[in-house]
Amino acid sequence: MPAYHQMGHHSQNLLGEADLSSFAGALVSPVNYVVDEVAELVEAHQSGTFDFVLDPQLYFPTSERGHLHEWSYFPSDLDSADLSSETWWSGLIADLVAVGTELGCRAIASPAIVPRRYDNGYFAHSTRVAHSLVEQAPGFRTLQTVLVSLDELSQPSRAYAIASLVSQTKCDGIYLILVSETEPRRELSDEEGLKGAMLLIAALEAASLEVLVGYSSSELVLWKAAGATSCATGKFFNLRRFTRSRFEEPSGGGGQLPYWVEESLLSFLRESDLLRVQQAGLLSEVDDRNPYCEQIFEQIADGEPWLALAWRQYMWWFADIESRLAAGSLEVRTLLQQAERNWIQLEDQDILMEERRNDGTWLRSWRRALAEYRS
Amino acid sequence: MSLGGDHQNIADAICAIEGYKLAEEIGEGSFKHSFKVISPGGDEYCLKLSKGNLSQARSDREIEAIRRCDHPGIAKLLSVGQFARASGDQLLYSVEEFVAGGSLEDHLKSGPISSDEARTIGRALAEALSETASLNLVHRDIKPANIMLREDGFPVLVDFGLVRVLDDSSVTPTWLGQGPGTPWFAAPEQLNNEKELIDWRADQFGLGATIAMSTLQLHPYAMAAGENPPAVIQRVVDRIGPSSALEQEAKSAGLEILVQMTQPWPVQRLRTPDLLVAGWN
Repeated sequence: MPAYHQMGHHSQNLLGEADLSSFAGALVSPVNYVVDEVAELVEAHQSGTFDFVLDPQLYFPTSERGHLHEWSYFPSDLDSADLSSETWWSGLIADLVAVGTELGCRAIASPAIVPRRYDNGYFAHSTRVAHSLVEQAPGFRTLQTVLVSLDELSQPSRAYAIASLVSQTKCDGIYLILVSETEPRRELSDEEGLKGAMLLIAALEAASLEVLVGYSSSELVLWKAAGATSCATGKFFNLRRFTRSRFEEPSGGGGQLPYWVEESLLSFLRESDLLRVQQAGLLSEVDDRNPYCEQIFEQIADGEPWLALAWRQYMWWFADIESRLAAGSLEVRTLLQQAERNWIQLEDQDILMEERRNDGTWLRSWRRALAEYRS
Repeated sequence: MSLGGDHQNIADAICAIEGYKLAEEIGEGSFKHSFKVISPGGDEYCLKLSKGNLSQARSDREIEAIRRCDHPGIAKLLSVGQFARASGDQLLYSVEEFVAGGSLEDHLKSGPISSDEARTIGRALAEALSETASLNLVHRDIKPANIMLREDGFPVLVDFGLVRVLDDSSVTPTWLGQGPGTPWFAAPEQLNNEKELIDWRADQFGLGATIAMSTLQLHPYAMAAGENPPAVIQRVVDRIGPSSALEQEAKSAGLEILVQMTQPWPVQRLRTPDLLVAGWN
């Protein structure tokens, strides 16, 4: 299934772009939008081939909530409520379903919070909460939100235990959110955690549960290798992952540098580094098909900013590579192997990135995670 | 025939209260003592007396679970009561459907069942598990002794003495430690006492292990028939997975489904009762 658009701050204008029309749907962001804005978006863009998924985004009860408190399902007692009470969650879900109905969304993700500990009781409780959503939301496609840290998944066999717990779900699918402490502009590189995440995805898919991996970035290649049905990304995920800090800091684009996603290196490049890689003849052929690449070079030639184009170039690439991986026309092992070789070639030619830690070293972790997952 | 000493006298007294006639002892397990009783109309029933330390809460749970079940593959519960012993202790008893034909365990004394008989049992009890799962119940002790065969060979799941109602968040002390399942047929999550992981798929494992033992004479985790049980159970605890011997034997018998039913993690088994039923059909 094609990729999903993980909506964020001021990303509504991307929904109507013809060159980004290959997305299967959008996950709405109540943190970033008020209900009337989302209603307008659903009205304007939902179609037979494009769904909206309501994600209640209650992940961090004490974090910056943006517009979240303006939504009618947002509980006034979130900070003081007994979050282990299924009655409390049931009431919240009733309000959530009412909002979903008002918006006209076709799918709803179950509410979930990031816990202090990812123990069995947490996943069992999350599954019961999701069951309440299934009971209260007939007519909606329901997704069970599964929040889990990569650190938790790095423990041997933990992926199977978690998969066993959440596969009790009666939802139509799983909305998997991998929590990490990865800093902005750093790639996920915990081999064991990545392997565990792949095992979790594969186990759920093997149990006939479709997995939508939310808040993804270039590491989607690993999730697709594990068989994930869909991955979601937003324009900011060329820079950030799902972390607590993402919900605590301003999410605007001010001061942000534009980055170019480069498939041949599986990396994001600043302008000066992009030009170096271009001169080395290492830009991917995929860039020739990406309609935003040429526009970016024109902007650069004119000395104009290209941040808005960078977001689009990334979103187009994400949807395109998801499609190629789903179709089997691209093999992840080969992709990673070639990307690592290209980094070595750059190193051999003394083509060094201005961004010092942008050196491709995470690819070794990804390759090892993939190899161990497949073994 | 012995009628079980003290329990016989109690069974006699209960029969007098309930209007039954005590016929004969059926069997005695760890938690229950069973007797055949006859109603005034001449129908046969099974009187089960709880033994010793079985708590009120646990028996209530069992009784309520069976009462909620209405399926030909699950023994029907007729009545429940308490009997005051001279010591002042309350002894729980139940009267349920009597299934003639003996247990699967009895049948196995004359040799393994055929693949066709295994399929009959698999199909029928997969549907029975579908019923219990829909009620959010887990039997937790599926084994040949708890499968009665009607005279036409149709299997019936009996003795819900270990059923846990998953909606009930209270867990009585009897669930602690090793867990109440019979170890030889118990799933890894039962042996490891991982209570959140125990759902109807633990019963799926128990049914798979029971059928594998009954027709292939091979525990799913045994490297060969007759292997030392503690070593086999340790492999279940360690989640080593079904043996290559099972894979070969199950394939030869056309019972490949047993391999998936006895996978070490619940997520690796058939996820829904419908899939299990379809797998046996």
